Amino acid sequence: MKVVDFISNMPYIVPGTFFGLGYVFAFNDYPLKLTGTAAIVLLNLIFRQLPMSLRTIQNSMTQIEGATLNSAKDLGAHNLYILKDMIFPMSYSGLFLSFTNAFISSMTTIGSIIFLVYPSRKVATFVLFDLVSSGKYKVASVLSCIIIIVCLSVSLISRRIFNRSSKYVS
Amino acid sequence: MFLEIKNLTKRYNRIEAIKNISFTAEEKEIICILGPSGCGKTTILQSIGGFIKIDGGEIILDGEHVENLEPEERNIATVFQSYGLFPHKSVLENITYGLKFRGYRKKDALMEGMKMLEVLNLKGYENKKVTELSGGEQQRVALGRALIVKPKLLLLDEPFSNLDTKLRVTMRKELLRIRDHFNITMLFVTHDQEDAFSIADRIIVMNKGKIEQIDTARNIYLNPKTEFVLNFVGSANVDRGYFIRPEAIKLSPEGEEATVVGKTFKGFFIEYTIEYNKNIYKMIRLSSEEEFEIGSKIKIEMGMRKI
Repeated sequence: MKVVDFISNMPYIVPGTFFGLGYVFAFNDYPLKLTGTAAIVLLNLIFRQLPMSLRTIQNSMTQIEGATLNSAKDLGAHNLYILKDMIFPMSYSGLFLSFTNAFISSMTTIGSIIFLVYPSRKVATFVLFDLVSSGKYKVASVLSCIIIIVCLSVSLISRRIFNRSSKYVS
Repeated sequence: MFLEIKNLTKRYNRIEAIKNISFTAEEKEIICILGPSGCGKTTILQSIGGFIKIDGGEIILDGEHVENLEPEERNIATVFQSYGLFPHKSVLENITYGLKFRGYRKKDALMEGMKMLEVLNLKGYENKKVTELSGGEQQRVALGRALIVKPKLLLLDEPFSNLDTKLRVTMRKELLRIRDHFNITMLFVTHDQEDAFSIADRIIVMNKGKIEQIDTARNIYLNPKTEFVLNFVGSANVDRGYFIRPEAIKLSPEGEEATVVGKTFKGFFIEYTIEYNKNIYKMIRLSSEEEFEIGSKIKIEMGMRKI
């Protein structure tokens, strides 16, 4: 189990650029020829954020008391209900944290996707980079404002959604 | 018999936590399992509740074998030591949760819940968070949540261990009142002798996974069957298979002579150490009675009894 755990943590440990390069090599051929698509960028971002997010959610789940789940079972709740009524609502704080964390760092990342992005499908951070390096500071500052606003509003909205459904969790 | 436990056995890594446990309970009876930490009392409770798989034995509740059923299928409710309340639900939601699986409409469930709150003297608390409640209130919520599904048997795991001394006394009375109100059979586990003596109809004294004695509180104290029971319940002077409780040593003008060698004031009673026949004995007298100084001679009558 420890080995599996270590391997699953690799995307977070390996420096982003190498992780991206690895994707280029791994998915450059049949059966999964993904290089140059938007999918490979998405997949790379997802797997890079997964270990950290899992840790956060795992942490909020281990705080659920065994007696709480046993009481639910005792009162007649089958496993599905325990998942729906107990485990999910009680891990909302972890879900919220890992979602916003993953979203914001994906919005601002460059390292791991630098070799995966095609010129025709640039992400916002790359456009920003190009603008800065060609001296268009005014446009660059507008774009960075937009990125900041998007990140802020997503985290505010998700906070609202998660808070409403977990109003009793302190 | 309403509840029948036959030859219950549970092993953890081949070590027997409980071995061949058998006992019975009548309807509306309060049975207490009393024993030191690690004697297997919680294991018994969890086996009956269905939270651990047993390695052998039968559990018959009201004529029905339940040992192979899942906890949610058994007509048994448990109040856990840490209560296990649902922290993300309100008091009323906690109490009515079990009704969700018993075909109640939401409106009826809420009505039942309000009735239960009234019985438990928790009216006005329905929309509070359970984390805002005091220990005694949390316990009553846990009780209400278990009782609302009308179980045939209520299991309580160390129910008073998180409460202070005053609150314990109140909750013991409360538990007896609830028993009379719901006519329910209860089985509870404790290491506290006072809990057991105050509310149990019969007490099961356990040690190292085995039952030492099943009897009423009076018999457990006055006629202990083994040395373990004798020493676990109260204190005793033991001499070659004979015993006497410290408070049973009587003063009498015709008695034999003994010397007071030590004394400790303990509030309502005074504990003396006395020397008699070259042996040291513990003796207890009420502090309102005549007091003896260390070194003084007293006349005592010592009715030692066989264990």
